[in-house]
Amino acid sequence: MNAVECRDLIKAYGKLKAVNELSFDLEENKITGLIGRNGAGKTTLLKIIAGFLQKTAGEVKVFAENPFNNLTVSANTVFVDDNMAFPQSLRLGELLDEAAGFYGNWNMGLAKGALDYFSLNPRHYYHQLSKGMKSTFNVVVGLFARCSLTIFDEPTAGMDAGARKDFYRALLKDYLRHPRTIILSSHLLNEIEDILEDILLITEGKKLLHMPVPNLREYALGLRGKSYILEDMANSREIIHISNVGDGYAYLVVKNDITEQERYKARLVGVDITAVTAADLCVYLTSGKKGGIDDVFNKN
Amino acid sequence: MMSLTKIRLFYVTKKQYKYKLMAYSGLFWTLAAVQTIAILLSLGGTGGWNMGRGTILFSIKTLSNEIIVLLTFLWAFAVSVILTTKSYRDGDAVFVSNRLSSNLANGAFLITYCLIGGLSAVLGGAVLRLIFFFSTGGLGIVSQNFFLSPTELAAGFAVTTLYLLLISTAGYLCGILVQCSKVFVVILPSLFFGVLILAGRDAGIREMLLQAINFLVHESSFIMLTLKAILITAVVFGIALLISNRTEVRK
Repeated sequence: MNAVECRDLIKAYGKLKAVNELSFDLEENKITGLIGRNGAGKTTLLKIIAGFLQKTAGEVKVFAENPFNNLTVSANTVFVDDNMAFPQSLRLGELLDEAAGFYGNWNMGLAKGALDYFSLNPRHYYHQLSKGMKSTFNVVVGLFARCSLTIFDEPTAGMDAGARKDFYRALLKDYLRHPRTIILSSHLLNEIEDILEDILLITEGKKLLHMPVPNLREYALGLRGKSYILEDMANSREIIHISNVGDGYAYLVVKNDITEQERYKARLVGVDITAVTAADLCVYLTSGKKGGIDDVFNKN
Repeated sequence: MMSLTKIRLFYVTKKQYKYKLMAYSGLFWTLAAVQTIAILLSLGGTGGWNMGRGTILFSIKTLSNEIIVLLTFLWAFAVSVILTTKSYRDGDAVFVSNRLSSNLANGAFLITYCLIGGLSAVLGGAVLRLIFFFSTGGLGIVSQNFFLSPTELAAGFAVTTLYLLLISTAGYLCGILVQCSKVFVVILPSLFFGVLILAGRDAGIREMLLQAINFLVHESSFIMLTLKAILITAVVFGIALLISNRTEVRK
């Protein structure tokens, strides 16, 4: 069964379409990474799924229901971002007590343990915490609410490397204990790649690709060699990225449909063939046809 | 197969109501502050005159808790508007909620605050009398209406609470309208003052306005007043609910 289904989903703000004819399904109990550049429409999409925002057109179903203003969806969804409006008058410990009352599967033992581990004093107030500490508290709430649909929208904002690592580890551990559908949005793909099962890559509100992470790692190949040789090889291929590395050499990223024979030929003419990491590939795929930041410097 | 938590509207509303009582306890202290200020302002008396000839001098002061009640009305209006603002609305959406549960919990919260406000406004009148009694001594006090019977206190409490309810639902609707579109920040005050100005010029409009006010203010039957207040509150709150049911949260 699918936890989330979107068909031609559109969210428009005036003429701007933040989400533009997006169609995809998220299988239940999978961890999906929602990847995209700033302003790609990640947050808007997630807030529609969480039932906060209303779609403009198309269809969106969460647990087979329209999520907007839906109590069942709300009871089974937790949405964590860096903008949690916790009241100023409650201490962290009291906030956990309140969360426990709202979420049926809440695990207080783990939540308190995590608070202790991250040195968050339950007697402190939320608004007194630093940005990174706030984020840490947010993910603790998001994780141990154990909702069937758990959404983390850039949850690690301001967290130091150690805290981020601990969070990813806690996420994976608790997911294994208590499987659920998790959507994790981030632009730091290389950090979260290892815990993701699927990746949904979007740009300008549109879907670029949606596939398991291992497939993404084999999706493309990087070719490095003399420019004129690469130009020859690039013909009749889908070019994902091209850049000059200087000295008449170029780096070309193409879809991975190169035959054994071609590989052999390439090696003969001095072209290195390398794998392209998922993180790099996502950057190449979403940087558009503009040729990268180098172009800005070359032209001006 | 995933198992979804089934949740009832009543349960969530109750939970949210309790959460609000704790989370917004700061608003309670604003009531305490407003009423303390009101009591201090009332100590000077709300009316009176001086009269004298030769060596005999009269000074008459009227004392009432109308300043306390008026400021409590203002406070109720402000609190209900505050409840509709973005940070409070988004606060609901952090945990389980939908617009209906949020609004109902706000309604229950406002009723609680009106009861507290009504009770403390009436008791404020008693505090005022006590302070006056001990500061001037009993001799200078005209005893008429000085002593409050329990029935008078209860009636004062009930009527004040009913008016507080009317005012806070009006405030709530204003807040919801403003949240819906910022245009209402301009429209609502213009409408309010526009009607007042027109009433000052046009006798017909003045008559209509007075009738509308009399409908609520000059109601001698307590039961009728209760019925009117509850009916109007329910209708106005229902309108607020309908309008806000389509608004987005955590934008």
